[in-house]
Amino acid sequence: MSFLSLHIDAGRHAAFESHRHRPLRYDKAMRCWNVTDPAQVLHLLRSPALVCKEIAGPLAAVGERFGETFPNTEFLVRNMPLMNEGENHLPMRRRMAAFLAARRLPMQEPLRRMVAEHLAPLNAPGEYELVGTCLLPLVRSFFTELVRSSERVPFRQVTITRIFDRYLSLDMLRQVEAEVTELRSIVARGCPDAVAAGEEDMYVGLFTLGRDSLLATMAESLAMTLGAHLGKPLNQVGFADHPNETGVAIAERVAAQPISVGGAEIKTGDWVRLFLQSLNYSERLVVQKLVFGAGAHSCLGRQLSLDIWPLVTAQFAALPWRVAAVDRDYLKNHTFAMPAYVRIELTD
Amino acid sequence: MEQFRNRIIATLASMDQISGDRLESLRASVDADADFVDLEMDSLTALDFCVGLEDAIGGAIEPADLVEHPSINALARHLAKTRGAPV
Repeated sequence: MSFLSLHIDAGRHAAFESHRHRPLRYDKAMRCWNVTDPAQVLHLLRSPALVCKEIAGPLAAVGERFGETFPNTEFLVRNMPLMNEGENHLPMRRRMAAFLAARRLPMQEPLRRMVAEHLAPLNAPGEYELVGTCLLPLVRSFFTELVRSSERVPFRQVTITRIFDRYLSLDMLRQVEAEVTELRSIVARGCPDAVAAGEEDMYVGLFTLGRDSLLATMAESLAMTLGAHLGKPLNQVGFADHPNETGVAIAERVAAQPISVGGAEIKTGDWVRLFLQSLNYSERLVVQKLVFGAGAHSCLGRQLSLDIWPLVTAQFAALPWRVAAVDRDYLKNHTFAMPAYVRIELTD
Repeated sequence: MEQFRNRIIATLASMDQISGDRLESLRASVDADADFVDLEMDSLTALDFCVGLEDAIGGAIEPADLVEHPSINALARHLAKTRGAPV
């Protein structure tokens, strides 16, 4: 089983369990430490010894090497809290947290309406592809409403978050640049007041990380829960009160100072790949809702996700059907568990 | 597979970033599944190699392919299996 694709492997739960308390090993081929023990992941997430990777420099180096420029991607990585550390990071994070907190209450009523509207296609038994039919349109409506955009955000299933991927190809980088360019033009047209107020960076950051995180987390949690209750009436499926899987499967960090963990000595400059998914597989950690991560870069959308999830699961639980089958696959992405599709069959 | 292996080696040989010593050892050991990791490519060099290989054989090559198929022979086998003859 490769650590490159463990996060989308059907056997990952068993793998995380078997890795418990195992000494950490450095992966020469991936040139990083892979951490799958939840206690170690949590410890490292909270440690100031690990910092987010700096992307702007390598991005400029790639541009120089290949004679191309990625100005909009550079704009994005310079302005996203998750891609910044130190004195830049805290003001960015506070600003985004304040924005999301202020929007939480006004979002409640639209959220109920959106969930009802986008899950309505499931009102008859049949076979459905959940991502395209329900979840992507829901996420799209959610973000359009969140930023009060006059233009609906045309989310495609391309995964801009591959910018977090250390294994990005030049071609994929070009696609990311095209996506960020499109997002910036949408923000300019749909949210002119925000742009005039100097908030374009925050909006583009929200669209970038929030969309893939919310979509992937809902898809993963639904697929996992429904798949575990095949044949049961939906009103007897015990949906958790929060998403029980995270689409943000892996966080990559760099050691800013040496740190010891799991019998290993991580040196300054070493890459560390933290499997956030493993946090879901411990009772103690589930109680703490660590599906949203921990430490200085924990998920800012946590509260809004906790608002959406019960609305979605209540809608499912109200359906008079059973889930006869669940099938899913993933898009290529080495840090997110991005769903290509989640097909379900509902029977009476 | 032989055609792919030759093109992989030719691409590596054309890269300034791969030192003469390493390349010599690579040439000497190509039959023994020489690992890319032994070439100590940094991420930019790996990307360079992927772009060069894309030019040489067509189609997309991602740095992740070098992790999943971590030697010249393994990558050549993978390309032969998934692509037919090089363009």
